[in-house]
Amino acid sequence: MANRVAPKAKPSALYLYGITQKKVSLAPDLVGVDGRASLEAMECEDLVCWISRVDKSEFADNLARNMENLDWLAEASVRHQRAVSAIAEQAEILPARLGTIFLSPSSLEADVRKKKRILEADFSSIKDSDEWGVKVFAVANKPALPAEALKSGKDYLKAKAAKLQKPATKGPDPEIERFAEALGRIAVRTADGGKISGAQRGLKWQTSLLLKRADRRKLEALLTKFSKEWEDVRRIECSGPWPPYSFVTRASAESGVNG
Amino acid sequence: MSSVANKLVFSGEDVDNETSLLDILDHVLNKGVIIHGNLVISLAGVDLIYLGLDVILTSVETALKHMRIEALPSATKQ
Repeated sequence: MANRVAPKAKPSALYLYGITQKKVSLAPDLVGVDGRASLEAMECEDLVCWISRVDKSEFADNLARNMENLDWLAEASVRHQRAVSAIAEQAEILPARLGTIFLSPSSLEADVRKKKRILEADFSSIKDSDEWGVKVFAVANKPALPAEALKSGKDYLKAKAAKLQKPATKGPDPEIERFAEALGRIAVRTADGGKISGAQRGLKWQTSLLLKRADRRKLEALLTKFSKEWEDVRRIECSGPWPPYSFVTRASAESGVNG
Repeated sequence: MSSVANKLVFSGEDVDNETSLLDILDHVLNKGVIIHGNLVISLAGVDLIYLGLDVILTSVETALKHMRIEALPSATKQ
């Protein structure tokens, strides 16, 4: 009788979601970026690294290719964010960027050890704060073309072209500058908004705010005030609270390529 | 959170329903702590993998523009 050979376990890697200063309990059904594995807390250097074990082939060897597959990227992004948010509900977290992967616990530990001072400074700067995203959109007004004044098709096309013509380039909108200044006064810090949603139609301006949780009402009041003042001209959208993705140090972005 | 004024929209507390994919990508792709930046791939003795996401980000931006980004799931609820 032939011996059964146990299937060889696939090589795995560690996917990092973020780092906290304490351990927390997560819902047992919370899964990681692959939709299967649970999150694990790995203690290192008096900090807690939140990881899950992922397939090395999918998340390491073929990560670049997978990230250019928008279906894969969309699922991974939502799962990453869901996991980071679940931790953030219970503890201050330094969220990791999507796709931060280690091949072994020892390499993760070594890196955290090396960056510990920067990480601790980041914990101080985000204390009791959340990130909020604020966007200002132009409100599209579409008054009908004055049909009675248009005697011919040519008149119509001229009027239509004039309407579609972009306004001459102007300097910064002083109203938006006033809004930005007011937001800056209540925020701990501000940062540029994201690049991807920057292409949304009608978007005039966006920013990210780091805001003390105690100041949330101030934000709501300010947004309400401006949205009333801007009615029919601009629309404000606010998203949050987010884990402080925009307010953690890009710890070693300057360190270049090693290897 | 509900709207507090006509032209003001809040979103984001419920990732499943109210936060757009664009906002999520903005946060998870080009923000966040980088423990070890732009390391190309595992080579002997260096076993952290962190790919050049700035390059990937650019290609995602381009792809999204081509896909008419306004067709993606609604960013917010009115």
